[in-house]
Amino acid sequence: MNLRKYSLIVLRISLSFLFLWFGFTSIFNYESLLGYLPSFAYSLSISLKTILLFNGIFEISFGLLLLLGFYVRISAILLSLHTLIIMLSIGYNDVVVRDFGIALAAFSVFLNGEDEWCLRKRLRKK
Amino acid sequence: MLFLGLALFVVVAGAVFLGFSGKQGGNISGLSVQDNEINDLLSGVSQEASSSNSIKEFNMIARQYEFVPETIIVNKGDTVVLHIKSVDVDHGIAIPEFGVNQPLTPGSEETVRFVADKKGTYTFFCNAYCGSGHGEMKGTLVVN
Repeated sequence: MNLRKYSLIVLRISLSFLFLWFGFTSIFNYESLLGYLPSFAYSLSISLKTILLFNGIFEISFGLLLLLGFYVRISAILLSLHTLIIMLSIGYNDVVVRDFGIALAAFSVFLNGEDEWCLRKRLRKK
Repeated sequence: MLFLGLALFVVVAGAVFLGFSGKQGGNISGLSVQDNEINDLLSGVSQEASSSNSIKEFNMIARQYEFVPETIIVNKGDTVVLHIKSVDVDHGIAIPEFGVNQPLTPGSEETVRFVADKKGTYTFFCNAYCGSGHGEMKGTLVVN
C-alpha cells in the first residue's frame, strides 16, 4: 500500500487546522495572547486588540485557503514567514522551538505546492 | 514564485537566526532565589493600598506565574504607584488601557505610575515570555 501520496495532504490539512485555531483564538480569546505581543506593539497607535484581530483575520484567511487547497504555495509561504516573524519578536525560548517546527512544516508545504486533494486542482480537472 | 518564496524564507530565517544569536539566554536564564528570601519579600507586599491625597501605592511581587497581590482596587482619579520586584526571571507588566508597559528585571525594583482615569475592570499581565505558564500570569485592576 502506497501511503506516500497522503503525507503532504495530512501535513497541509493539519497545519491549516493549527493556523485556524490560532486565528480564532486571536479574535475570540484575544486576552490569552496579549502577553505574547512584542514590545513595539505597545508604541503603535492601534490597540492591542486590533492588532490581534488583524492577526486572526490573516491566519484564518490563509488557513482556510490552505485547508481548501487554493493558492497553496502563496498561503504556505506567507504562513511560514508569519511564524518566523513571530519567533523573532518573541525571542529565544521553548515556544520558539515549537514555532520553528511549524514554520518549516509550512515551508515544506510551500515547496510541494498543490497536492491531489486540493480543491483548485480538482476543479481544474473537471 | 518558488524562487521568490525560497529567497524570502532564507532572508527571514537568517534574520531570526541572527536575532537569536544576540538574545540567547535572555529570557530563560533563571535566577535562583531561596524560598525564605521570597517570603521576606512577600511580607512587604501591600494587600491594601497606602493612600494619601488620592495617591495609592502598592508593593508587588512578580514571579512565575503570578503577581502578588493579584487584585488591585483603586478609585477613579487616583494616581496609582506600583513598586514591583521580580524575584525569579525576567518578567514585564502591561496595562494597555493606562499605557503601562514596564520590563521587570530580577532583583531590581521598578516603579510604575499612572492615573486611573476611567472606571472598569482591567487585566494586567506579564508581557515578557517567562516560561510555560506565561499566558496565565495575570492580575486584575479594579477602578471604582
